[in-house]
Amino acid sequence: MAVCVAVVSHNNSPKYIACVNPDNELEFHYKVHTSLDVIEEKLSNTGKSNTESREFYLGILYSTEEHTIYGYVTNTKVKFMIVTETSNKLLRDNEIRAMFRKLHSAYTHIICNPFYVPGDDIKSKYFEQMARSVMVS
Amino acid sequence: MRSAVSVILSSSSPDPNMAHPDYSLTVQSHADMLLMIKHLDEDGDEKWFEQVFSHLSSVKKINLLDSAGNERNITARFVKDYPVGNNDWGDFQTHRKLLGLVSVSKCNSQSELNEYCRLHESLKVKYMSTLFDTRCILFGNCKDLSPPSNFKSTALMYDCALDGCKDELTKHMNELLSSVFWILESKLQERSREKGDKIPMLLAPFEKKDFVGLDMDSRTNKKRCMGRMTKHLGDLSLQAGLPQEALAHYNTAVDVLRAITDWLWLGGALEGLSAVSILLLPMQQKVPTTSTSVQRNSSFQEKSPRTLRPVSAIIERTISLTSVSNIDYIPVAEIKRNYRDAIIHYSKYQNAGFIETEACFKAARFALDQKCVLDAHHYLQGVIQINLVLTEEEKIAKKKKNSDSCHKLGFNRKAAFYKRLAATRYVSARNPMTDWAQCYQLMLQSLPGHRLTLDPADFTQDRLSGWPSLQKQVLQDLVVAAKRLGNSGLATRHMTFLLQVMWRHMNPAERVEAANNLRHVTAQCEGAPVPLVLEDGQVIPAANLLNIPQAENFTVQNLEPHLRPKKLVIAKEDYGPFLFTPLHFGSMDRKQGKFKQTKLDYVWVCGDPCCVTLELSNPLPSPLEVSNILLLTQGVYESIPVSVVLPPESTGQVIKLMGVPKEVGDLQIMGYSTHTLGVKSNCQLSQLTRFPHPPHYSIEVIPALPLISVTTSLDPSATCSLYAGESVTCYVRITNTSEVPITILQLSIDSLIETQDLISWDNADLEKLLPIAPMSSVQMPLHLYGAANFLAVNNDSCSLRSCFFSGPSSLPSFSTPQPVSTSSVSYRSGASSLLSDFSQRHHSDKSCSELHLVVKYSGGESSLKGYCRLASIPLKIDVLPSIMITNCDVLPGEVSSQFYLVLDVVNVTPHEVELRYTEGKSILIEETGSCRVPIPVARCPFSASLLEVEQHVLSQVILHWSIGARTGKASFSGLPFNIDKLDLVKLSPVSWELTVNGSPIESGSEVTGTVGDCLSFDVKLRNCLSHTLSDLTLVLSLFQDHLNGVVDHQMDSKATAVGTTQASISTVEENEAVGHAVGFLFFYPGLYKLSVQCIPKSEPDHTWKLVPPLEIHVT
Repeated sequence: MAVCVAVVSHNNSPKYIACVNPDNELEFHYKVHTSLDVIEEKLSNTGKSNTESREFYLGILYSTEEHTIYGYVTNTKVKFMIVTETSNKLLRDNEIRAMFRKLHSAYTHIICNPFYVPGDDIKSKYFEQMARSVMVS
Repeated sequence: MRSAVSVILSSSSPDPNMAHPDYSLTVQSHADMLLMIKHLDEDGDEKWFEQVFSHLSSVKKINLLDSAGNERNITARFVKDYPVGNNDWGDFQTHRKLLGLVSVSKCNSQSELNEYCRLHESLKVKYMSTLFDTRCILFGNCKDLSPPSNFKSTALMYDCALDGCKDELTKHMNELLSSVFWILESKLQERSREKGDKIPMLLAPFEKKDFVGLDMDSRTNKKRCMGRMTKHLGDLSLQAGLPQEALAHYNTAVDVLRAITDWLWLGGALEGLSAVSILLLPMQQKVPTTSTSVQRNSSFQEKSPRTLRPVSAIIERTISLTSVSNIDYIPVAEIKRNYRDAIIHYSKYQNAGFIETEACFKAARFALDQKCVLDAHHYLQGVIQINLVLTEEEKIAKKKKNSDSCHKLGFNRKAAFYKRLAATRYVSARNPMTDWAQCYQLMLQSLPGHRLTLDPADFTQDRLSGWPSLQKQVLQDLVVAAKRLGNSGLATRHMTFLLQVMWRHMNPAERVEAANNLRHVTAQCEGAPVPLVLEDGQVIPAANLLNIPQAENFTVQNLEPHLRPKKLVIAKEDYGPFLFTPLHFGSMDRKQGKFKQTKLDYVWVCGDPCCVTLELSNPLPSPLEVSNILLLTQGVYESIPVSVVLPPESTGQVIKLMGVPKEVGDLQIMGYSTHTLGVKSNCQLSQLTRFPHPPHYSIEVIPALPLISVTTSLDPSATCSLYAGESVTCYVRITNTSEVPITILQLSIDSLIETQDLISWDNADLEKLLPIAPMSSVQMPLHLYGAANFLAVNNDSCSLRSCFFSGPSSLPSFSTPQPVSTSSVSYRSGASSLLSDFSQRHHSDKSCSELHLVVKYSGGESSLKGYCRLASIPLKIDVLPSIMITNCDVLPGEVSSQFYLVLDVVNVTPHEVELRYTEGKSILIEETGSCRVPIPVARCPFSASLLEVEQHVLSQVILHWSIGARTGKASFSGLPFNIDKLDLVKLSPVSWELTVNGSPIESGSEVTGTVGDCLSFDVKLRNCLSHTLSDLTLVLSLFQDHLNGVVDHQMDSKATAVGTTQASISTVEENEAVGHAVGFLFFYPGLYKLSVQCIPKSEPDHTWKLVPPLEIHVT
């Protein structure tokens, strides 16, 4: 249901970005990039008071007429973002959360790979597959 | 922002009905009275007008006492121009009404005065519906002029400069403001007194046709009229300095309008309510405390109703609702909600777009003041969705405003995004007036938001920062903008920068494309590694092509071996107590230390060519021409430029950068420079990361050293063959080819084998040759000697002796010393076996020595610093074996003062050898033949030590050989002496004096006797030593030697002794003699022998004998 999935590292550099239509990739790059502002703002509020109990899911970062962007930040400040079409009203919040959880577990999976250097771009078939499944389902 | 507005207003043909958003409006604007200060002479002095404007507009706040005696704070807002379209919205929001007009100009003549008066009047007509009061201020020489008769306004004329009348102007402005206020106050009073049924319908500009044909007297409509008027009263009260009343009016209006769903005006009322609430906020609320984060969350979460609202927010809201009448301000959360509602209501009307836009910005600004960033962002986000009919310039202005606001929120990425959008708008196809300069400037400003700077030093290769794919795009756009701007130097710079910084993030296709683009751009302007300064003073730092070509390695080479300076005296290196340790103490430090080591441990010589090798690779799939590769140094250095063409996608192309250091001292090698694709690049080592290296190299350059060439008289390619023992003299020629005289010269031999004997020279000769002047040559002799071991040592030393000697015990049985006879008879017995034995060792003994004659030389200043150079010349000396000594033994001499050293000599040359083994005696040995030669050697003193004995013998044994004209000497060391032989070699410590029947006899002579006669022997033993001998046994024994190996000691039946044959001698003083007499009576005739020997009791193994034994012939 998502049209774009992105993983951004703790220093706000992209680690992985995929979208349904590769022609619009740059557009999504811009959208995801600008959404980082909102994530940072949200983190700066909640980060100080209660780091342990902070919820990973940040909700809607912002929405335009075309797309709505959701954010999810792990404890290690790795950011996941999912872009959906705003016209798709059927998508429920729980589904978005499920997508993020799926991405998070896939990310954990590749981080466990001893040959993966944390901070590198993600080039994993498994992750690719999971990201695609999030976008298609 | 004001300039943005003036841009809008000065546009060529503004639509009079169109309203234009003014992004500079704040909440305070709601309370301001709007006045315009207009420059009548539009083409006049702008600067002067700015001064006037700033002075006049400084009077924006006055305090008045109203009729009831209450103090009113009145504020004003000044604009330079105002669109009529906005003025038309004055009924909707009174702060949009232009209330006052001040026209300003310089005027010097009547005609000008007339013209300005006309303009002023026409302005009055333009804003007729709203204007309360006007002034016309004229400066210049116009005091005496009179305005035209139809001029109805107040004209103020000053014939002085602005500074001269500031006070007066301030006074007039105060007057104007109070005048406007009083009219406003009267309007307010008038409005508030209007009766319910006569209230006129207030309309927004676009509503006029909406109400055509509606029943104006309906109950709803009356309510509408009342509600709108109440709202209007609120506006007026706020402007008139009565915020509390305004609050009350707005609250009423909201209730009324909500009831009749008049959304637009409800929105207006809500916005007014919010504005007045904000203005009424006490100071501590305006600057939020920590609790605001909760409020911010609450308002945000209303937008996303899935999450539960915090309880505290609900409580706060209930409090605020209940206490709104009691407390004289409304809480922040309430204000924000009002704003949001207002915006939502506005958004229902397309024509109210600009009102909505302004409201959004105002709300955002308020939220930002309250540090509610996300709310502010939310309001700003709303702006985008408002569909306004705007010109391109207005769109750009809106984007810029958006960008500024985002920047204020700390949303730098978003700000950069809007900046870029604005930049693209400047040059979009729809924009009739493309402005690449503005576009470029905005692009530049958008860089920080993308985590980009233009300084390559900010980009470390190993750290990922920002969003590469966007950064690439941004930089590419920047290149295009710079190119279209016509500044190709700038385009080149940006393109180079793109290639340097983004190289890692580009795929091969992008790299090729970028390289081609660069080639294209540099066709117009070459790039050079110097900072560019833009017209506005911005400095664009230099960028270098580090990746085209890529350096794989960079090595500072030592000088060529023959040029390499060495230390004259090599200090012994301290390796510490361990030669090798597997432990690395502080291995981390050591690794870093290795990396950072900049000082090279070898030196370069001033004026001598030196070299740095650089490995380059071409990452592009096309041949790459790299020209003018030079070394970057700090210090005077003459670099020789190199140009290469690198094949496509080649790696590890080694390039030698030659050069000559021209200055003594430390030379810093910083990197290299290239010129490729039309860009000159300085590639500093510190920027290269593909291989480990220090940030720069430092090498010492020492003063010039001399240089020599060395030749020898020998053929350098051929081997110099010497027979063992041969001596040859050759000459070494040393030529100084440099400009420096040589003052130090030393010779040495460098070889793996021991070569001391092989080559020799006289150091005194060497000293005499110095100094060697520049460009001159000297010659010195060198002695070669075919040193070899002449002794063929048998593996088994026993076999050496047992070969043909029968052992020491049998020595006396040699009845005649036949082998040592003077004849030149050679023993050839066993020669074949000797040869075969020898031939096995022959090859291994043949020694071909390759050695180097090393000349250490120095001169000039560097010699004082302890540097020198080495020149080496190879010498090949092949030592061929000449003769070999396969065996040796010692035989008693003919006289007691001599012994014979018997040598088996083998000729191992393929020639006949003449061997002169002792004075006057020589022997010819056929090729591969062998012979045994006896060499008489004087016995050495008894007291000599073993070493002395050996030296004594060797000094007397010299074998001279000659093969044709070639001669040589064979000498040897280390004869296998043992104790048995020592007795032969050494002189006996005792001498014997024998007398027979009173007559003395010589040693070796014969004594004759007859059977039955008694021969009386008197033996005198004389001590020849320098000390006393004691405890000796003197033994005389008679025996017969059958000369067939049988010695018969059983003499009992043949002779008898008269007296004792043994005598014990207690002591013999030195040089004293002890005698002993004994007689022998022979029974049969025959040949007898008498042995006389003396045995010291302490060492029974040693016997000193009379040699040879006395022969007695008995007849």
